[in-house]
Amino acid sequence: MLEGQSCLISRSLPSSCEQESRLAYMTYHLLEITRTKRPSGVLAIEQDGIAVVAVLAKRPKSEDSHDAVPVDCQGGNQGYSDSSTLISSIGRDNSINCLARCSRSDYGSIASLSRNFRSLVRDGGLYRERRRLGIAEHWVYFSCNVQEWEAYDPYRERWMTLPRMPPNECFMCSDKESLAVGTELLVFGKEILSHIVLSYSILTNSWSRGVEMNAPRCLFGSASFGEKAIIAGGMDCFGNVLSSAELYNSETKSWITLPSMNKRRRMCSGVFMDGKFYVIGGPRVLGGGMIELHSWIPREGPLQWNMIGSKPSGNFVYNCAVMGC
Amino acid sequence: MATREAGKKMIMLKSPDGMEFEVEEAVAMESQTIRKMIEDDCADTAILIPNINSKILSRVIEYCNKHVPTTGATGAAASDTVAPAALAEDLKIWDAEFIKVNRATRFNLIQAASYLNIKGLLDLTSQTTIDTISDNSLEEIRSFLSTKNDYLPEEEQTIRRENQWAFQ
Repeated sequence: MLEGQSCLISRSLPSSCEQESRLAYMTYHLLEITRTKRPSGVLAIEQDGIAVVAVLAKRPKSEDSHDAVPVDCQGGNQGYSDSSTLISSIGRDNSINCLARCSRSDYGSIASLSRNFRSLVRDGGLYRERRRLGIAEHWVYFSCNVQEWEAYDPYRERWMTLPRMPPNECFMCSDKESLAVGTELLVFGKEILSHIVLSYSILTNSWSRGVEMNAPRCLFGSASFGEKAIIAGGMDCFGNVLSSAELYNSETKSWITLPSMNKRRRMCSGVFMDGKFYVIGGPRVLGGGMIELHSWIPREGPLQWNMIGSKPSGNFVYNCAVMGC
Repeated sequence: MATREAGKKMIMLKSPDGMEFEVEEAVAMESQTIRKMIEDDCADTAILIPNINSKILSRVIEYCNKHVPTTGATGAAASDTVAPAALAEDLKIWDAEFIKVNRATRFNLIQAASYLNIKGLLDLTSQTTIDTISDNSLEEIRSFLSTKNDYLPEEEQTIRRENQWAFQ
């Protein structure tokens, strides 16, 4: 299930966010890092002096991820009739297996071939097969202006403009977090008193309201692997700092509450590395404190957070990245 | 099936059009489907491979022959004297020649690789098929994939516009 995929979010926070409502951070950068067709390396994007650096994680090639994703590749799923042919004469499953190997940027043409190809692209079946086969291409999604998101495809070296987010003045002015998971880009923000999630789907190229967390929050740490993501810590709408963590599944569009971390923390960073979810950074103590590194291993026995290292520091951890090479 | 002789153990594969192919067990076991039959003791003197005609089956065996690990049956020497990188390069060149077949044969090979569960062959045939997709017009892709355009003309315009964002 954990296929060396990870996702980093880098925040440009000039200081801790004591009055969260006053601060409108419009620039959030998000970098999907998943298993890659490319060799490991560093990908950096610089925009208005704010740099996002992330590492394309290397993934063991031999990994067998058959149990990774509930892929319904046995044919005839989700209302397809037997008559639905894709690449004629090789059958539906083999067609999907073939098409999953195409570049993401070819799926627009593939959808234009025929009705069956279009429904295959739009229902996410190709992306499920890609996860099963361990194929992924990493595009970067970022926002430099309120309501506007752009994407960059490093494989074809192309910039794309996403449709504008639905207008919502409160949401525009609130703190925002972003997270790419599965085929969705989630943007978390606030609407008057409650938190809301907006979701951009690459399948439909459109925005819609996303599903709210069990315990809505902002300023959390997060990372994704395939169709799942974990968020940890953060601050609720009353300003309470949280220790709880939640797991999101973009296939089922649902949140599951995970065991809480050992400590409450907000403005922390999360990352997946070697199948483990790490949270770094957290509550600042005036006059200095400790930097603590916590991890949780999703697949091992009872769920438990472990502190894997700590050191004294006069400062808060604003950003972090993990390099696996 | 239980006996293991000192020499190479042979397996008989039969195609539905009546041809028989005698292959080394190690070669046949490049197919995970056949491997399972052998391991489950379901294969006795001959294995009938349904739906794969002799022309395609012989190509598949040719592929397995080339890709079977060089240790063991053929006598250990190869992997000791040839660097793995050189072997891999040699295989790549061989694969590129092997897959120079017409579309119908390639599609038949995909089906055979899928049924026999030969990952390398499925990767090779599938990748070759989709390599035609980039840099070609929709009409050409439809022709490569033997697929029919079932959109109405005005509908196709809309769909193309809708998917334009992906091409920028």
